[in-house]
Parts: sequence; C-alpha cells; structure tokens
Amino acid sequence: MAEGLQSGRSGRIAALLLAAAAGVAPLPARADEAPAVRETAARKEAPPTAPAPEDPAARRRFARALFFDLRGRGPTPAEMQEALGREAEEQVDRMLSDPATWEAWLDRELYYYLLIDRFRPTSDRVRALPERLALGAGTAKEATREIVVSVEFNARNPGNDTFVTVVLEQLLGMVVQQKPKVLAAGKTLYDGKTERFLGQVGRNQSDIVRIVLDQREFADRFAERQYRQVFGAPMPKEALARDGARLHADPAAFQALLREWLLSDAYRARTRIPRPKDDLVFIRTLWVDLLGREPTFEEFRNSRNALLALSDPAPVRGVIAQLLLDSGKAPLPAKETLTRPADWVRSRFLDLLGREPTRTETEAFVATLGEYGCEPKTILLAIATSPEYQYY
Amino acid sequence: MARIHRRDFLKAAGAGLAGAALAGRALAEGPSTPQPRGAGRGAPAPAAPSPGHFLLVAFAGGVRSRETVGTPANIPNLLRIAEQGVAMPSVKAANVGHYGAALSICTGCVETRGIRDNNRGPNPTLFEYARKHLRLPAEEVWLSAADGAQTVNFSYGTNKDYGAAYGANLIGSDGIFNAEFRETLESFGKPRVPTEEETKRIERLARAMDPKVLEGAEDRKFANDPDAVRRMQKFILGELTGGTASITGPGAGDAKAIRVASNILRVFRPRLIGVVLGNADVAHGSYNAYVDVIRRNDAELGLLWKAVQDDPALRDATTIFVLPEFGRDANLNQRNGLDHGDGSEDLGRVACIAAGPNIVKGKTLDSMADSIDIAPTIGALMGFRTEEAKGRPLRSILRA
Repeated sequence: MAEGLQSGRSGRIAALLLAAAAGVAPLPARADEAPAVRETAARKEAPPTAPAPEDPAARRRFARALFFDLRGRGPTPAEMQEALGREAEEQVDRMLSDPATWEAWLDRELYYYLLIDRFRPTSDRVRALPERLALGAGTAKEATREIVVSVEFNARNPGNDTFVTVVLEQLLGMVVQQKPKVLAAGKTLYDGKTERFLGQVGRNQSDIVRIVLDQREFADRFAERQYRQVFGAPMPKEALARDGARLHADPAAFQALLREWLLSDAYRARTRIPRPKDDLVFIRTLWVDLLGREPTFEEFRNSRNALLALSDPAPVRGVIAQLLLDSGKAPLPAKETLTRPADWVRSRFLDLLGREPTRTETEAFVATLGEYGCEPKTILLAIATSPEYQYY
Repeated sequence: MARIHRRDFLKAAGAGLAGAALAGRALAEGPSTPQPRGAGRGAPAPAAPSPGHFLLVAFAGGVRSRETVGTPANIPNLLRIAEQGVAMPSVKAANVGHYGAALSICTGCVETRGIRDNNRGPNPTLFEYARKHLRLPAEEVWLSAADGAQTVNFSYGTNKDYGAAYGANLIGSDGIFNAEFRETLESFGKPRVPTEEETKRIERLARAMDPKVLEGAEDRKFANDPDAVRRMQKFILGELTGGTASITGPGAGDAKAIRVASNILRVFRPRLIGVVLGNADVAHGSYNAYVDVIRRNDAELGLLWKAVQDDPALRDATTIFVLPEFGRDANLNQRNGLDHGDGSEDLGRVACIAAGPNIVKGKTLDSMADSIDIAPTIGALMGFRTEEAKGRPLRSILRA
C-alpha cells in the first residue's frame, strides 16, 4: 500500500478500500482524531457495499432483522416502509446514529454485567451513554468502564473476592480458579494496597478496572460477545483475532466494526434462517405489534423478569399477548369494518411475521375470522402465540 | 454410622465443623475427587427403585454449617427432618461461585462457572437424566428457584445426548410472582387463559400456518405440549393472584421458591422437583440478615415437609435432600458480613440432611461425602444412572 495514500481523509478511504479488496482488516482510526470526526469517519470509511438487486422478501427480511438486532424489537409498519425505501448502507447508518439503538445495546450490556435490574445504574454518566455512542463520541471501552465503576455494580458485587472475580470473569473471560495469584493481586488492590496486577502496578479498585480494560483479552471477549449477538453464532477464530486486535488498538472502532458486520454477506445469510426471539426482543416486539408503542421501562422490566423466570416462557407469553389484546388499548378494527378481510390478514402477516401469507393461510384465517363470535383479536392472538412469532 | 438423637447429631456436627471428620469416604463407593470422565457410569442402579417423589433443595447463597447444624435454634425444622433420616455434617463443596456450585449439585460434576455466567453447563442435570431414563414428560420434573437469572440454566445443559428435550420445567419465583409484575398485568386488566372456543380456533390456525417457514431454524429448546401449557397458565395465574406474589421481606425470594415448590408438588405431583435458593448471599452485607434468611428458609421448609406429611399420597413416598452449595468465610468482613473466598473449612464443608422411605433413619454420618454425590444418589434411588456424573451414590445412606 502506497505510503502517500495514508495521509488525509481521501487517503484513508483509499487505504480502506485497498484493505478491503485485499481481504485484510482496515487500519484503525488515528488516536488523535476528534470524536466527531471519527464518528463521521466510521460511517464513511468502512468499505462500501453494493448489494446486488434483491427480491422484495429478502429486502424486507434484512430490514426487519436490523430492527430486531439493533433495536431489540421489530419495526412498526411506518418504520418498515421507510426502511424499504432506503439502501442497506443508509439504513444501517441511520440506525447506528440513533440513540435508541444504543439504548437497546446498553440494556443488553447492563444485563450481561449485572443480570438483574435492581442494580441498574442510574448515574448521569451511564444514562448519557446511548447519546454519546450514537454520536460516536463514546467508545465501548468507556461504556464498559462506566458500568463497572458504577455504585450499582459495586453493590451487586460486594467484597473484594466477588468484585475482582466478576470483573475478571465478565470482562476477560478468565477462570479465576485457575489464576489464584491474579485474583489475590486484584483483591490486594481492592483493599487499597499497592500490588502488581496483570503486569501493571495498581493501588485501588479503580485501577483494577483500568488495568483489566487495557488487556487484549477484554477486546477479544467484547468482540466475540457482540459478534454472537449480531450473528447468533460463535465468532470465527480469524475474525476474532483480526477484530479483537482492531478494537484493542482503537476502542472507538466498535461502531465501524458493527457497521461492517451488518453490511456483510454473512449477516444477510444469517437473516435467511429464523432466529428465536429472546425475552427482551419478544416483549418489545409484542408491545409494538399489538399496542403500537414500546413498553415503558417498568412494563419491560417486569415482563422480562417474569419470562426469564421460566424454562418455557410460552405460557406467560400467551397470557401477556391475550391481556394486551383484551385491554382495550390495542388498536383493533371492528370486524364489520373489514370489508376486505384477506387484505387485513395479509397486512397482519407482513407486519407481525414479515412475510406474505400463503394461499392456504389466507383462506384459513379469513374463514376463521368469518365465524360467528370470532373477532380480529383472536386472529392476532393466533399469530402472536404461533411458533413462527417466537422467531424473527 | 450411629443412630441419631439431636444431642448426638449436634455433637457430630460439631466434630464436622472442627474438621475432625474429613478423612475417608466410607459413604460413597469411591472418592469424589477428580476422576476420569464417565467414572459414574459403572454405578449400578438400585435393585428396587423408589416409585415416589423426590425433592432436592439447594439451600444455596452460601450457608455455613455454623449457622445451621452448629446453631440448632436456627434450623429446628431441618433438624426434625434429619431425625427422620440422616444428617451428614461434613459434605465437601467446591467454591466455584454460587452458580457453578449449585449447578454442581444438580449435575454431580464440579462445574466451574463464572459468578455472573449465564450460559448452560456442559453436563446433563439430574432432571435430564430423570426425564430421559424414566421417559418422563416435562410436567413430571420441575425446578423452583428463587431467581430467574442463571437458575433457568439448571433446567438442562448442553450435552448432546440430553439437553432441552429432557429439561425441567422451571419457575423462578421471585422473577414472576412479585407485586411489580402483577401490577403491570393489572394495568391492562385481568389476566385470563383463552376460552375453549378461542383455544380451538387458535390451534386450528396454528395448524394452518406454513411449517416450512421455520425450516432450518434453531430449536426453541424447550417447550411443553399445548395441554401442559394451559395447565401451567392456570397454575401461574393462580400463584400470581394468590398469596405467593405478596410474600415480602428478607428472604422473600427463597420463601416464594419453597412455597411454589410445595404447590407444584400438590398440583402436579411431579416425580422430581429441585428447589434452588439464594437469598442467604445477603450475608455479604449483613450477618444478621443472613441468619434471618436461614431461619425463614428453615420455617418454610418445615411447612413444605409438613404439607408432604399431611398428604397421604406423598407422606410415605417422598424423599428430600437439603444442602448448601458451599459455606462462607470463617471471619466477618469489614461490613459485619460474611464473604466467601478464604478457602477455609467453613467455606468448603457444608451440612446435608436427607430423609425418605428409602433413606436410613435416625443416623448421623460423620464420614465425608461430596456435594456432587447427591445427584448420583438420587439417581440410584429413582432407578437411573447419572453416567456423566463424577460423584458416586452414597450407598451407606440407602436402606437395604
């Protein structure tokens, strides 16, 4: 690669294009770039993809998957319409610059680190994270730090043994039972004494977090977790080595990395196989699909905790779906206003399942809707409790 | 092995606490220290397996023997159960985190898992063994846990020969039976199960939906049949609108888990039910609160056992095992609480109590057992092998 290409914005874009063409990872953004500049770069510098013309079903599938994976819920009909009108690249960029995407991301991170909601951090610094990440002004490493140094994380992991163990396990993937000296050193720092810990000298609890976040293993583990979230599969070793190194060198590269993953052929291939909705996704999607709005935090937390408490959440998923439909708060059409029931069934399939109904399905649903005593809400309940609705 | 009287039991317990009974393993057929994988395969099933019901209570959250068998006033009900069966005051337990150690009880293998690890373990659980070998439907095997996080993973592991198809139904009581969730539901109206007519229509439409859409999709892992789903819906709504959701105070999560286990036993009469507690971990911040949790759990377990004894169908057909996953540190921390990480005997030895029709009665066993021996022992009692377990059946506690 010519040295001259490395200077300036256009040079960097060229370098990225060359790197992409050569099948190697793009170089990290320069450490001295201002966050705002870097944010713009993250969007513009990633290798542009030129998706081949797709059939409408594939476009719809891709757009829906983005909402599920980034927002933790399916799209509203309006959002879907807008998304279908955009190129994939534009849609991904819009979503990555939307704080709502990072709120959903933060929800997952908080659950990963804390497992239960009653220790959810409430500080301004943590609450500001989605906005900062959407602007490209914050890094994943900084976000992790804010979570781990929070009062709530400390309360969730009381005492030197638990705190150090959880930090080493969750951030580095370390099996502490196999590294008793590292655990002992961390506990010494926690107790306010000077000690060498993971190759660096530390003096306090804050140093434990700083030193751990500086480890290459943190970047690797973080990349692996995020990849698994997006693709629903383990990260290939080669990709882990490449992307882990990139994140370690440049923690601000996460947004750009995520963008590349979402625009990759591998992601499109992933969207062809239905993926189970986890409880987080199910609840948010159910609210959007049946009530036309996202759940409040309390509705979301309480419902998610209930579903997480069951090895088979289907019974309670069904109860909640029925309750929302019975509540009078779901915008349901009066049966007599459905002059073209087949069209209504089709629109419900498209909105709730993301696909056209087959002829057999249309006939069955229209016939059932036409039965005496059957109301539209029964049709919606049938869809919302179907095996297919448990996937996206 | 001696016949148990409370005085003798406490004496033996004291000996266990002092670490005097740590040598030898007369109880099990062999050592529970690491063995080649599959060492449990040779453990024969008993000649006459018990057809009854089995309760495994992981009195987890980290509970020292000092506050249980070492302080009889804290656990009068458990001691009464012990008088009907056996007490093992010196059971070895590995400090591999709450999750890993409690999972170890369920699998019969030492499970090294992270404290906040939320992934399933590699080994089959007792529940999977039971469902596979005894061909039990999901309704016959249950878990009632204090919390939903992590404990849902006790239902089944990732072993390719077992897994979701043999998982236990699990209810994390504190996650679902609480005032907050009830209020959320009530803000939309009164929850109900579908009418029979609605159910028929929904089932008919479900059958009409194109199954090809889900071809190649990852399995949904664990599911009950539609009839079982409806029965569970009724049960869950009953618990939610009944008293369970109103239980509050220190140790409320554990109390709910025990209460729900009792109700599951009454309603579904499963062959096997696990109860996983966890509120004792409040000890990190307060010794007194920790003792309160132990006392409350003892009281709730006493009520559970009384319900069993009052039920003619369960009284002479139910076996119970109770043990913590590990203990706690020997000394108080700076907050007048108890952590768990000092490697002491207080941390690594716990007391186990067992009683039931095929358990010897009135004995204190001062030989050392291991917490991973419990799953194989229950397997032996129920008539199946826990072939991946590293622990061994405790034959000395089984009646001939």
